[in-house]
Amino acid sequence: MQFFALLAQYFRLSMSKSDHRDIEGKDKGSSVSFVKSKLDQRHLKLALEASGIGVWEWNLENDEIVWSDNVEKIIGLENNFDGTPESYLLNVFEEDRALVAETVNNAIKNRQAFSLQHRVVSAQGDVRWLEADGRVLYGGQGKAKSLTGTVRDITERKQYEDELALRDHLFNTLSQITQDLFLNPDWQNAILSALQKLGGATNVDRVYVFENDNVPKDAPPTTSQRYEWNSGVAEPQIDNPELQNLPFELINPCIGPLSKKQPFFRIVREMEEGSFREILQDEDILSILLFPIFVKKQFWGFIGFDECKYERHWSDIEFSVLRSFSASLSGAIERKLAIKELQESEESYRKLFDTVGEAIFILDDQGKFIDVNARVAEASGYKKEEFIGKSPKQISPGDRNDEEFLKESIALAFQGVPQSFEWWSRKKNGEVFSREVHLNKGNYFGREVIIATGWDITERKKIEEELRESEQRFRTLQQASFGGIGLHDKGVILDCNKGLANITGYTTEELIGMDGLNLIVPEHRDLVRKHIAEDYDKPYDVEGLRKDGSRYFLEIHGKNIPYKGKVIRVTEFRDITERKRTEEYIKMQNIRLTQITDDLKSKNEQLEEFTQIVSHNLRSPVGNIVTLLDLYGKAENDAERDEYFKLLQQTGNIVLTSLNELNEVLKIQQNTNIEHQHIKLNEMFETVRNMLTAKILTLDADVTSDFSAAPEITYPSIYMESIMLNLLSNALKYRHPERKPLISFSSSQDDEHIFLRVSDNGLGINLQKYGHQMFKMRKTFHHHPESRGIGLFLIKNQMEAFGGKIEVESKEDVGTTFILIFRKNLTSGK
Amino acid sequence: MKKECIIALVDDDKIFQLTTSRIIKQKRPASTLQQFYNGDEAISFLKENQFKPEELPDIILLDINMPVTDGWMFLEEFQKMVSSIDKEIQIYMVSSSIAVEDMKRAKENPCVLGYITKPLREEDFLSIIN
Repeated sequence: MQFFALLAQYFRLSMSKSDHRDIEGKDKGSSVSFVKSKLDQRHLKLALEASGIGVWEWNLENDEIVWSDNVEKIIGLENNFDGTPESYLLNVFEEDRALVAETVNNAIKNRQAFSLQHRVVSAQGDVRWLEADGRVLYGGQGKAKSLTGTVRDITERKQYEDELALRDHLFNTLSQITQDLFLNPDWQNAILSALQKLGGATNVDRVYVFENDNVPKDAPPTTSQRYEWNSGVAEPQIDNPELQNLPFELINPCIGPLSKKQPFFRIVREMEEGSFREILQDEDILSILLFPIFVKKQFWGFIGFDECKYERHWSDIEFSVLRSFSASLSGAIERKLAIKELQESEESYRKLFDTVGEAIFILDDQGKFIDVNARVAEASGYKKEEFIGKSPKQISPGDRNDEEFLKESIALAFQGVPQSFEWWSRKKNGEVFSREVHLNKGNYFGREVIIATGWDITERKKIEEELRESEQRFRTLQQASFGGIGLHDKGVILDCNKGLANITGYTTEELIGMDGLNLIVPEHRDLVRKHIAEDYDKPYDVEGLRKDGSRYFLEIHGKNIPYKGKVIRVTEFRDITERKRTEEYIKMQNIRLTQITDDLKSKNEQLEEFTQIVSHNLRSPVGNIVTLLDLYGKAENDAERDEYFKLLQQTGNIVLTSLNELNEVLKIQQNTNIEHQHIKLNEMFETVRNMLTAKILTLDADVTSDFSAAPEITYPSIYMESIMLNLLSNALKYRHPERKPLISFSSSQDDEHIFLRVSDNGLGINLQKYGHQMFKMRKTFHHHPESRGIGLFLIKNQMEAFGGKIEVESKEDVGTTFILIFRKNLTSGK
Repeated sequence: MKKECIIALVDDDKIFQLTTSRIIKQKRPASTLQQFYNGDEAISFLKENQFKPEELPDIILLDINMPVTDGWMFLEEFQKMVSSIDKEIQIYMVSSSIAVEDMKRAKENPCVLGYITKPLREEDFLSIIN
């Protein structure tokens, strides 16, 4: 109020066209106050001029406006103003005119002071922001006489305010964007909306983000556009394939500064020639601003702002806000990556946690469950969620565990002392089982916790029990087995049964720990060693060595088996001495059987021979008798009849002889039980030689003998006599007519046989021609009057009756040797 | 009746020789009889006379069982010279053997026309002659 009074006085003093009376009239002050006001007026003027404030007055009565020099200085209307309100209004910025008119009218009508900001266009064409204050001055009867007030140039302040508003807007946008980037879980949308907001706030045509590609070392680096917002003026480039894996080389001018954390700004027209400029020009970009994005101190990519409407120069505020935004974006990306990594590691941890076969419990310091893994839920029948917040006590049978002990253990574990103990748990279905529990201090997503791992030892106890049982079974089996069983590891006996002790002569205590090879005779050890090494699993025979050094036949049967966690060999020993003996016996029986078969064969041959003998040697004389009787009946005289009768007598005798001979043979063949005598061969030989002494002397034969190699034999003596007599008489009978008969008897023997050889230097015989008939009845090979073909036949029968044989070696005109082979063990017959 | 024919007996049995020769004399008084007491004698005779067909027998009655050279050996020797003998000689085996092997063996021999088991009866002889 005081200010306006002073202002009115000032007008009266300084304005040429002012109405001084009115001012004086209004301010009816004392002279003292006038003097004081005069001084004040001077001060005010100085102050107003110094501050650049202009003063004006609008006389409503004559509609004339006067103002101080300062006003003209401020608005510079020069000749465009003629002092009328109308001309002033014409100089007001067009958009503000209505506002100015309305404000002033309202002030007059309502008798109110006003303050008005408006723009005026100077004579030079500059737009000035003015702030005008005014009030109405009243004359008599309260009629409005004039308007007066000040004016100030607020162009600079206005500009500053605009900038501030823009900055506020930008910063608001920025803070929104940043919040969104950090809080919106939908990252993709958060970035896109950030770009849109930023684009809108800065009024650019395109905002985009490039991310540098992850290229192998030594490969040329590239970058790809990831996000883009577009005003609609510029062509969208997000689908432009050239902006994917864009080599740094093509946009080289910007990479340098960006990678050094510096922004890049260019008016495209002013840029140096090159690929980068071409790319920008292709996209109709007139100016470009890029800010680097650094993530974890690495050049991650950049954010860009394209202007296609005009060659834009960015204000400091815009510049600083965008710079801030790129920094925020870096932070947001960094955080995003960190979250992703964390999620990944959490996921993999969770996976590990749940796939682990052991039960894992996470407990807090109060001993309550924070987390359990899938195995726990599976084993207990509870759901995982049912554990959280509970204490172990709540899932345990009340009476089986020492809860005080658990408390202490948890406390100790929290101090870093690992704990382990057995703990009874209860399943949801009420079943109770035992666990071996280990407590360790650990970290659970940054929180100090107890990590408890548990093994269900009910199962283990069962397995242990089963193992014990199977071992017991094995042991029982071992002991029950008749053979010897040893468990050994590369020969060293780990365990054995009583049977092995029985077979080997050692005690089980001696056997355990001993090298099993010592149970085998040295010459067979290599074989056994080889079989152990090759896991030979079939039975085989060796010789065993007992503690007392005696040997025995042994069958070994080994097999590799898993035992108490390793592979060892179980070997069975079987004493097969008895079996070997039986085998021997069977072999012998076989030989016997073959002999019996041979015997039977020869018996059969004898029978066949006998049939032949009967037919040949009986049929012919009997046939003769029949014919002679027929002739006798038809005879014409006694002399004739007498002749036939004599012939009949002769033939009858022949039949009788033949029958006797056959009888003799039959006797030999049937009477195998004939008594055997202990015969001294030389004595028997002397007897036989004496029987033929006359003949020997007559023929001057030299008959010698040597029975020293086999002096005795057990045989029926009448057979031996017959054999020797027949052979000696044959040798004499078939002597060579031109030389002195030399006849020798000798004996020899081997394990099973006694041999008697009778040699002469007589006629000999063609064995090729007659060999097969040599020992047949009635076979004679010399035209000798005494040949009857019975001697050798008899000898053969006498030999064969007791498993013996007769063989002959002979050469015509040289001599003959008969070899008689007696079987020692069969000389008693069958 | 037939012409005179020569009949050879090869047998070591003297009684058989005697009785058979009596039968032949009765039934075929005109025939000539040649008697051999073993295979050797018969072979020697045939060898000596192989180029004199008139001396050779028309029929040979051959025993099997004889000392030294038996009937089979005789046949082996006979087969060796049969191609050089200019006469068809009919050989009949006459044996006391009733063994099947002997009969079979005789049948398989191309020189043997028949097998007669002893004793030799008149009918048997007549069927040979005719």
